[in-house]
Amino acid sequence: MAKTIPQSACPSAQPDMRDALVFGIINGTPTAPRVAYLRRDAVVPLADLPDLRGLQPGHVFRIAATCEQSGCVHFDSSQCALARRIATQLQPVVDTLPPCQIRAGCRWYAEQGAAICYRCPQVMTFATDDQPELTAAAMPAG
Amino acid sequence: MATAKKATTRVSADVVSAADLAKSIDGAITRAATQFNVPSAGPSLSLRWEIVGRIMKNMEPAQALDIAGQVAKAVNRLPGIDAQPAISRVKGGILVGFIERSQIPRSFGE
Repeated sequence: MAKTIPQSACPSAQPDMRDALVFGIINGTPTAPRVAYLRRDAVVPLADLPDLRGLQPGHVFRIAATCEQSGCVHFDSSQCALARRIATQLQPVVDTLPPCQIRAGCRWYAEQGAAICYRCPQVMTFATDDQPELTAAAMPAG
Repeated sequence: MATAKKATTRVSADVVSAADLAKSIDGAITRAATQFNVPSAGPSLSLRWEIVGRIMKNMEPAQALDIAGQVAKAVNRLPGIDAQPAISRVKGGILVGFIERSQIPRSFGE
């Protein structure tokens, strides 16, 4: 099944956003979650998700969708401030570029370059207290 | 002057192929259930252990049976397998897959 990568994609999106698609599965451990990136042949259809047993899609998957720009609390007039904070405040967790399907259209990559990709596998749309650095980076300024 | 080569270990992100998808999602659900304190019912494939398949949401039984038929047909290409299409209503949708009647124990003890 062909996947259409959203243009100017937000890689920390919600399933009900425009052009939303799953590009990763959040594995790892509860205290150190890590994204496993979907190969091209692996498709998780948002319209027909498996039974998540009470969990939200964002608890289990990384979802990309078209950036909402000024409709998002993280948009800072021309850039994604969340991506900037992640690139500057979090440590890298990989030292090779993840095989990510959305990179060509990813807003974070377009603005921060490879630095964001080395940090991306630790990002969860819903962070918990076990991830204080991520929680701090996710906090909008002001 | 000779310089010692520094040993480095490359750390790469994990990748999920179509073949690993179900296992990876089950692992992610288990991880998330712990992280977010949501009681989990365990791996989805154990809901009806005698049916091997996946839970499909928003699917009519006729369509589910059609898909189960295609799955069983594909599985039967493997030597030694005698699969029959099977569906079952379960919480969250319809379990769609196949059953191997010859492999089901006929006695449950007692």
